[in-house]
Amino acid sequence: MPRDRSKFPPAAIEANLTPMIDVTFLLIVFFALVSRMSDSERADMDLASVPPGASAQADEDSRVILNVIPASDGAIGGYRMQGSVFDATPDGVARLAESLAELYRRNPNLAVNLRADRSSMYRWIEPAMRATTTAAMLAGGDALPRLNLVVVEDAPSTAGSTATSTTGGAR
Amino acid sequence: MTAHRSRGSEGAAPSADTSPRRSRDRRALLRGDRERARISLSITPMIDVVFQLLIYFLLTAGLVAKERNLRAEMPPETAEAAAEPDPFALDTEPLVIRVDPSPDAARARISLPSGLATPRDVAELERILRDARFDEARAGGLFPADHPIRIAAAPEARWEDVVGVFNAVIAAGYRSVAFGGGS
Repeated sequence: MPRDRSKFPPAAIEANLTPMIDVTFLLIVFFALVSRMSDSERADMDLASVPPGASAQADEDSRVILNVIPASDGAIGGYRMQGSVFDATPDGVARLAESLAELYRRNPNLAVNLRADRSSMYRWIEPAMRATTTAAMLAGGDALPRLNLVVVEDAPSTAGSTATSTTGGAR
Repeated sequence: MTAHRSRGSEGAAPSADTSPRRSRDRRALLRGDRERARISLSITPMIDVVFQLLIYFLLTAGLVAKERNLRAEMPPETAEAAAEPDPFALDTEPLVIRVDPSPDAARARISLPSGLATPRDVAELERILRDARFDEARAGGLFPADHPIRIAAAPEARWEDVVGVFNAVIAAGYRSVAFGGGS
């Protein structure tokens, strides 16, 4: 018996988009939470790359980022910390040490994350390292200068270690 | 719809039908369609924007290199310690590692004191230092793990070479590393 088509109007085929939108919004929220947004504290540079084994995962607690701003031919354009730029001169390094000392007075357990370009010359980075010990001395108290050399690894590793380091001449 | 149209078109041209009854039917049909019409929100632009956001986060999330730290605890440089050194402290001669830029090569020239081999790169430096470290579990070794090591980097040395040497020293198991004296 043939079907009477007038009793069965053509069905409207519709795709229910609500679950897809739900899943898409969940994915967006997930990536927004887990991805690290562009950090204004971190200057754009090519960090030194080291083999895995000795470096540790970056700790975000009680730290200040000190950027050695790279320039051409291994020179630098100064030091940047918390939005302030310090010249690569003895006066600029002295002002950097004073700013660091103020931070040490507020938080004696402060760690300084030193970020420098891989092609920068050591002559410009050593004053920044020395400024941390000078700042701890200016701050007084029991401030123990903690310096973290920020690097990138070729492969992920969970191992880490701590070294006692000094700057300056031979002991 | 088809039957309605075919009935109305009997004996006349389809396009020429302008009778009052036909106009009423058409208005009723239009009125009926309007009653059945649903209010719908066009979500296509929203989906477009959502997918754009999703693609943006997918692309940017994986491109950020994971930064890691080489930790160092600087000794407290107090004024008293600088002015009045401990007279009973034994002065241990540090192991000096020189880092000099090499003009004809991309990698720096790493030099160790006489008695130790000259490494070609930081990987070989780590192996040499590990073999030279005194370890009770195995025979041999010259320096204990807390033996002071000084990295004497030349002012023109690239930071990556200096950090590479520091990383090799730490990876070899030494705990007391100093910078300086390279100029």
